[in-house]
This record gives sequence, C-alpha cells and structure tokens, in this order.
Amino acid sequence: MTGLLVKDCLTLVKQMKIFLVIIIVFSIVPGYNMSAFAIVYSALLPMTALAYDERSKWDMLASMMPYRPRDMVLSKYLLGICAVLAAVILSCVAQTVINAVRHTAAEPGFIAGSAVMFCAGLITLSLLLPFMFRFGVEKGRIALFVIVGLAAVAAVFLSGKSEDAASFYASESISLSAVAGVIGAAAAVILIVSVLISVRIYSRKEF
Amino acid sequence: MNAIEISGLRKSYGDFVLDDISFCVPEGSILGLVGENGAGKSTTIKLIMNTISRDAGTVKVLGVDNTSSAFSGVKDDIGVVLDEAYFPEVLSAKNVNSVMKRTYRRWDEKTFAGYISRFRLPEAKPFKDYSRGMKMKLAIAVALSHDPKLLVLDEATSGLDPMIRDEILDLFNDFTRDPGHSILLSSHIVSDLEKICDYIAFIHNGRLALCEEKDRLLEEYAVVKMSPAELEDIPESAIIGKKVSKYSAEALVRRGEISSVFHTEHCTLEDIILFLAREDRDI
Repeated sequence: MTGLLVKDCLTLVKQMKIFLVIIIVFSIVPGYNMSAFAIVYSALLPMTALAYDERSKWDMLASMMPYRPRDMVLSKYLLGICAVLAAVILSCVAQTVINAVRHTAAEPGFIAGSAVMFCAGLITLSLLLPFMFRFGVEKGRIALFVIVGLAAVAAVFLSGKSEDAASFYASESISLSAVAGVIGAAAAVILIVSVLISVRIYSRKEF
Repeated sequence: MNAIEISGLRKSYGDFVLDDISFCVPEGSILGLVGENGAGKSTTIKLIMNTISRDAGTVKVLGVDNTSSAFSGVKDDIGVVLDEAYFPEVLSAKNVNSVMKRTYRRWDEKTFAGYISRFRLPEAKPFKDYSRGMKMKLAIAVALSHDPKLLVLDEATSGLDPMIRDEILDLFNDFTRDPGHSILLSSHIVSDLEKICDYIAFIHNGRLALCEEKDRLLEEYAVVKMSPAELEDIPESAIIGKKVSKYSAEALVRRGEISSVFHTEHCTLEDIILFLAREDRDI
C-alpha cells in the first residue's frame, strides 16, 4: 500500500503545488476560520488523487497488480488522514509560535478546538469518500458540494462558539479531554463505517 | 504444470456473451490469443486476472484458483501489460520505479534501470510526454522487472511500429528461455503471434474457435486453389473454410483428408484465422 501512497503524493506534489501552498498558508494564518478551510481542503486531497487516477485509468492497471481492494481504499483514507493531521499540526505549531512571539497566552479551548477541527476533517473525509468510490469523482461532486458546505458552516459555527464553549466547560466543570474524546470516538466510528462501506463498494467494481 | 488453466469460462454482458472458453497455457510456452476487435480477448484476460466477475467456469493461474485470497500474492509473479500503459501522466520513469519498488516484493531496480537504458527512455520526462511506443516500452519494462513467472500481455504490441514490435517480441522470446516462464499474448496482429507463439487460441464472436499447437496447425492445414467445379471433388469434411467466386475457388483444407492429386500450398496462421472467421464455424 505504501506504493499507492507514494504514487498519490508524487502526483499531488507535481500537479497541486499551488493548492498545497494554499493549505499551508491557511494553516498558519491566525484564527480558526482559516485553519478550518485548510483542514477542509486537506480532506479533499484524496478526491483530487482519485480524479487523477480516473483520468489515467490507474485503477485498471492497479487491479492487475498485487493490490487488494482494501489497499486501494485504505490508501486514500490514509492520504486524507495524514493531510488533515498535517494541517492541524501545522496550525497548532503556527499558533504556538505566534503566541510565543507576541508573548500572549493560548486562546481558551485551543487544543480542544484543534481536536474538533481534526475530527471535522475526518468526518468530512469519511462522508465523501464512499460517494466518490461509488459514483466517481465527476458525479460524486454533488455530495462534495453538500458536505463541504455543511462542514464549512459547522466549522465557522464551532469557531464562533469556541470561547463560549470553553467558558461553559469551565463553569460546568466538564473535562475538555472528555469532550474531545467523545467527538474523537464519534469520528472514529464514522471513519470505520465509511472505510467498510468503501471497501465493499470497491470490491464490487469491475475494471 | 500449466501456467494458466481455464475451464468452461462464461461472461455475459447482455449483448455480448463470452462462452465456454477452455484452454491451458503450458509452463514454458507462449500462447497467442487471437481474434478480431471485440471478440472477447480482453474480457478473457480480465477474467484470468479476476478483475471482473464471471458467470461460470474456473481459472487457475500458476496453480492457484484466481478467486482465492492467495491469488493476490500470485500477482507478484505475473507481469501484466495492457493495451495502454495507464500510469499517472505526471510521473516519470524514475517515479514509476519509486512506486513499483513498494508494490512488488521482488522489484529489481537494476533490472528496471537496465530496461530504461536499453529502451532509451528518458528518466525524468513525464509519462504524458512519451510517445505511444515509449509508453508501451515503459509498461513492458515494469512487467519484466519484478522477476515474473508469467507475462499476460493484452495487445501489448498493437499500435507500435514494426521495428519496435520486433525488438519487443525478441524480449518475450528471451523471457521464455527459462522453462519456468510462460506468456499469454493477446493480439490481432497474427504475424506477431506466428513469429513467437507455441500455441494459438482463436476466439471468434465470444467462442473459442480453435486452440492448437501452432506448428501442428501449420502442418495439418493447407490451402488449395482451383475452379469452383473442382472444389466439389474435395470431401466436405476436409474443408475448413472456402472462398468461392465465379471463376475461382480457394479453400483451407485438412491436408491428410484430401487426395494427393490436389496441389496444396503452405498456409499461414493468418490464412487459417481468416478462413475460420469467414466460415464462422468451429473445427
């Protein structure tokens, strides 16, 4: 499967340089809104990789190679998870550096907000990929528009509410790590179900 | 042992049915799969590689049922070249090496580099800027660089100029010098198949019209040319196919079943295929 990941990374780096720069810039711009965009963009990278696969009919060739359907599917999920994780880490590092330079404290709920954004990226990825595997990137874009729209609205809503949420958690003595854990568990469940559905869809494909 | 064993294979697409396909590729041999466009050659290859579902039949590749979970591992021993190369268009030969060394367990970078150099392929040029000949050479280099025991080649030489085709056919010939190596080569270029194949399987309208040792075919069949009236003296059972016009007749016959008074001519594989296709009947 590492061969598939290397293939996707090489293709994306060669084709998507500007797109990748945008993700990096949005990740390091202060504020959750920009980070949310960077994370949503990162979650879209597997779809871009799938589009390039479709254009070159790579799947037809890969089906003749020692790859199983689950390798083909998992490689796209792994690509997405790594991209989202990279965007979140970049965002966290950038915020920490900015805070250190300005000699300011981190925003309340900074870690929890980042964890929620990471989970939002995973959920976006998990909702999109089964559609892409089932209908192809061209037709799957309808699902993309709906889910990205909802994700963007949710991200903006959550970022607006983060301070309130932090004070709510403090006043109600609710553990931030527990909340992040619940959201993380939900994202993990959605991710696992999504992977299972995608593997099932891909296994039935004929090339 | 047979490298490939196919029995009673059937696949229906509604308007096209590939039916009752049974043949073997003995280890150490080259079997040529011939047929007109749309006859079912690529469908047969997809069924062999289990990339499409079948309606009936069994396929064993290198001794393993291709529907079993073990077949994924067997693919490490199979080099496949399709009618197009299908590599991501921005990747270079160097990038393809990086991907393939993480794909095949026995990928040999030195062997691959050797083929890239032998085929004079630019290492850094993106795949999309390759000519068709270069693309197919890259696909063949990949197929040969992971120590395969079996090559499955679907129209791998079509669209290439005769010089490149000849070079590639030599490579395939060299490959089968190892008695453990076998090739299934699908093509509609009959002259290529006649040049290198040990066995010929002819698929016509989704049916296996013929599967025979090539040398035996060329010995057993002959062409006779005569007047339409003289043709009636040849027993019907000896005639495989015929072309009759007002003034002349030409027939493909079984050499052993006609009288020695008839003057027979040596036939080519192309003659046999064309007569069989024309008559649309099995032998």
